[in-house]
Amino acid sequence: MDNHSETLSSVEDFLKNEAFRRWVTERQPADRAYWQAWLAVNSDKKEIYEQAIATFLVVEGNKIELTDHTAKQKAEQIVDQMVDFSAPVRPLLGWAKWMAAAAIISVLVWWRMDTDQVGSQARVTRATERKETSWKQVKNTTGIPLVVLLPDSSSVLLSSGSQLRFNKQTNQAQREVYLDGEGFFEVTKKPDKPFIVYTPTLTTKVLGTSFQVRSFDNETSAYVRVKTGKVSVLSAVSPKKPILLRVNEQLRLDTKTDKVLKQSRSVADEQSSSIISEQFVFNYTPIPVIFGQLEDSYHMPIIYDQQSLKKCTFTGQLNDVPFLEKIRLICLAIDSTFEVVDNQLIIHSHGCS
Amino acid sequence: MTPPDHILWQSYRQGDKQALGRLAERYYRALRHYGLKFMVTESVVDDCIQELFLQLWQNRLQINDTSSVKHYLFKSLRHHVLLHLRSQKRFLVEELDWDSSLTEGIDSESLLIEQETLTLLTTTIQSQLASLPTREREALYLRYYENLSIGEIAEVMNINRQSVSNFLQKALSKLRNQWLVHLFGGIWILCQKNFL
Repeated sequence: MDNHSETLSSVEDFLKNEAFRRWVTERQPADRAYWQAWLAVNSDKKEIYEQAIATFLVVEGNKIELTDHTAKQKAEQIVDQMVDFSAPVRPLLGWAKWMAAAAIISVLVWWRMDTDQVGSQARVTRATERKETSWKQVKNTTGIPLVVLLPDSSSVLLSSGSQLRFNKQTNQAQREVYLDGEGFFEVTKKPDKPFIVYTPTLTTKVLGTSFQVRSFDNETSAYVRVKTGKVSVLSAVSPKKPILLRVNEQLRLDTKTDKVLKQSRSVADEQSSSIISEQFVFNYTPIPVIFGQLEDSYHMPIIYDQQSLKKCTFTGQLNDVPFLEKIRLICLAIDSTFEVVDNQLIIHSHGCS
Repeated sequence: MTPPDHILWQSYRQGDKQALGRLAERYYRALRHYGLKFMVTESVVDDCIQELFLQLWQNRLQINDTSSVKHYLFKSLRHHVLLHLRSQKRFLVEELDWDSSLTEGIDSESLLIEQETLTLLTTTIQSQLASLPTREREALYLRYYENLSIGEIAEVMNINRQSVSNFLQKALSKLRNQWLVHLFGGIWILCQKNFL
């Protein structure tokens, strides 16, 4: 018990008194006994006491009801979503699935991927959707890159051992994703909504383009590489000074020496992932050939009828559009439709003659 | 005994996510109470609190030590609520709303005060405070409900210390008049009729 309470002589004194504050907030029986005794001794200060109580309650305003248990639960939910590599690997892979048919985006469904069969075709099962939060986390432990489709139609080719967190809602002012590890981003063009990739050391901001970000906890350098368009990068070393990168440029940050290096990207440098240098340019190319290349690059199975599509061809370049946009454009050209089901792409077509 | 804030903060900055979780648990109620004052829904406040902690985690390498974790969290929450409101384009100015509504049916007996007296006092004080700008009411809340120092309030509200002092002075002088009326009155209800 704070024992300066005998000197309390104004409302302000009460409001600043720790014992009084605790009594009004918590209303413990022990405090009640104390203040009852206090009022008996200081009967002349009863009015000030009453005013102090009333003032405190007014300043407090609407009291919120939240049990310790709920607070604990809320905190646990938050911890569950913290991306961490040193923690034991959780075999959970959130996976956003959306369908765009006739420009209608359908319901989001989340998937859980079993990691027992590393490197092989992963088994996909349904997981419960978390209603409490609008953020989704995807962790790739399959051993092969995994294409992640974002709600704004952008796509990310997430390398194995990497995690991505993004907002399921599309009504945000900015499109923000958090990355631990490596990802190749193909971003839907939306000039009014910047797309921002956060890693612990580098922040990359774009409006619509394709680029690769790599930042693993256990590696001594992090980088951003641009395939198409331009991006601006902020590093932890100089958080106020953005660095602009254009096509075929890269920014490398040595996390040990905090040295930032902007350089031209040499093709020989690309052992980690080839998609950044891969060209998607087609000239009367048969559809099965194109689908074959897309399957190899994005590691997503494409189900279609070989026989009926072998006479269909596509001409054009699909370098700076997201994965599903590539598919949509091809389907548009060959008068077909598509849907994403169980981590597979299914093409519906009558074929070409 | 649970570890004090600054120890948890230190562990969190060294990569202990459970430490940050402990802080989230410790301050969840206070943050929610504060956030709801800005006239946003509970789910918005919950989202903002979650976002603030996830960002703290994500940016742990860039986060500094702090003299008071509590005021740091309050400052971040205020920032996130502002961002949310801006994204909703609900207001263009820097001004935040401040909810001054009272809890219904306060059990006065448990606070050693008569129901009638308490109702009378709270309504009078409330009407006095209602005439204050939202920022002055917010400063009052942070000072006397959350017990933050002038310097901490200045940081939370992103204004200078002098402004905070002025806000509090103004708010208190309003209240003081009311207290005096009550003290000298004894004919308190009469005064009410005359002045209001």
